[in-house]
Amino acid sequence: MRKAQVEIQFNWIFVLIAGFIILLFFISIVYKQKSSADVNLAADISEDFKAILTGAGLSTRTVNVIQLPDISINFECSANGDSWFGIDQEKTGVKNRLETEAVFAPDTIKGNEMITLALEFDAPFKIMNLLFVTSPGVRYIFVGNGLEDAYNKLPDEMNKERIQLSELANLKDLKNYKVKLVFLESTPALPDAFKNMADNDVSAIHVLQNTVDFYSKKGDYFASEGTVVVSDPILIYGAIFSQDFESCFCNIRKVYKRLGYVAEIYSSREKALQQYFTEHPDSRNCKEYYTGSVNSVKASAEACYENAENCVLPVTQVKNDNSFLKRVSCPMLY
Amino acid sequence: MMETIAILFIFFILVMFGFIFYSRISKESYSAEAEEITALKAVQISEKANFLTDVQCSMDNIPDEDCIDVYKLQAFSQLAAKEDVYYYNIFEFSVINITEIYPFSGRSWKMYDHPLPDYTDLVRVQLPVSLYYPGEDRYLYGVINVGVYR
Repeated sequence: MRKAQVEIQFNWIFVLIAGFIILLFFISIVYKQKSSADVNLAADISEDFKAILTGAGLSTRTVNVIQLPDISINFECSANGDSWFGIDQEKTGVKNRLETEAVFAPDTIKGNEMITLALEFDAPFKIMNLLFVTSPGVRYIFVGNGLEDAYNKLPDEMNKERIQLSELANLKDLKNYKVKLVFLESTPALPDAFKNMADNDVSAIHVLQNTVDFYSKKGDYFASEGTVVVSDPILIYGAIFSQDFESCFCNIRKVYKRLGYVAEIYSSREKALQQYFTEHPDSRNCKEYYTGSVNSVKASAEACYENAENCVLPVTQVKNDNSFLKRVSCPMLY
Repeated sequence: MMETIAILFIFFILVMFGFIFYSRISKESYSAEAEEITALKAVQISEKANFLTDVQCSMDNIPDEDCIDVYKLQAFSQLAAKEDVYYYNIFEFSVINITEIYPFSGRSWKMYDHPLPDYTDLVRVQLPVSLYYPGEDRYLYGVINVGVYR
């Protein structure tokens, strides 16, 4: 009898232990499947997003508003050239490299909409499309007068506003997850409304004639980060949309690298045209008009890539040569 | 006690069969998805090749769609071979050939080629295109052949 009672108790203990092990086994499977499903979903969205980026980049001067599921999209372009976008990157680790695409964006896109704007960068021939990405959750505040044209060309779907310097102190925190201040007439000053926001979520730029100064929030003031030379007005948009100086500078270097390659192709094309008209002279005397001006753009592009802080592109001569060729009915440079 | 152990043993064998079945189904579904991704990639690469600024025709900086400038193409072929790493980021493991088909001259240009080591398949896409000779100011018919290695 006693032996039977002890046996029953041991049986129950055994059942409890076995049941616990089985439950633990299935719970661990569920967790592993969940994290695997998250990674799969992120990878699928990442592939679709890359296709969206490709499509948005092909059609210039267009605004696209893309509906998003409840995810965050991360963008990174750092000084060492590491450039990628990720879907819920911290949770899933899924990221896609952006080695050649210039995508100016905040470091995180949150919310259920994403706005993309594609603009062409010319020097003076088309080099590439620049993609500007943002979200309605990012607040853009233009302080002062100036840049009316650029401001009006920004998508209406963006959360943008224009104020005067005297109204800066009256700004209220509208609980946006990021705020970008664009100062047009004065050095950036941090409004009290944003002092409690995280340093990474508030930044400012000061737009001057040919340069843009970047500022990052350090506690309750703005600290200077760096200066970007604006060799083309389009690059001002890059400064507006970028998270910070580092990402803007990194993307601009990609543009100059691409400029170097495209200029090399146009330079070879110019030489091929000169050779053709040397071998097939006609009454237009075209061979005299190909002077190698495109080659100077190529040389400048290489210099700009090495030292983007001091960049000058000699596009005027190429434009003039092109116009002249058009007038004399010779094949144009571009 | 022995009965319980026997039941548990059979239970775990059944669970194991379930997992084997599930993993086989998953493997099939991943293969199908991989094929779909490769086909999508082939279309993406052909679109990129077709719209690539480096070779696209233009007149006073106005691009001419579905047109490739032959002088630019010749320069690009040499540049892509030299800057293979850069253009790999655009075209990945693929081969892009442009062939002149009318009037037929047999002329063909290898625009880009970066084979995948030990590839097993080549997913192909063809797109018609105009070929422009700027010296002669003449347009001919051609085809872009894009093959993505798998």
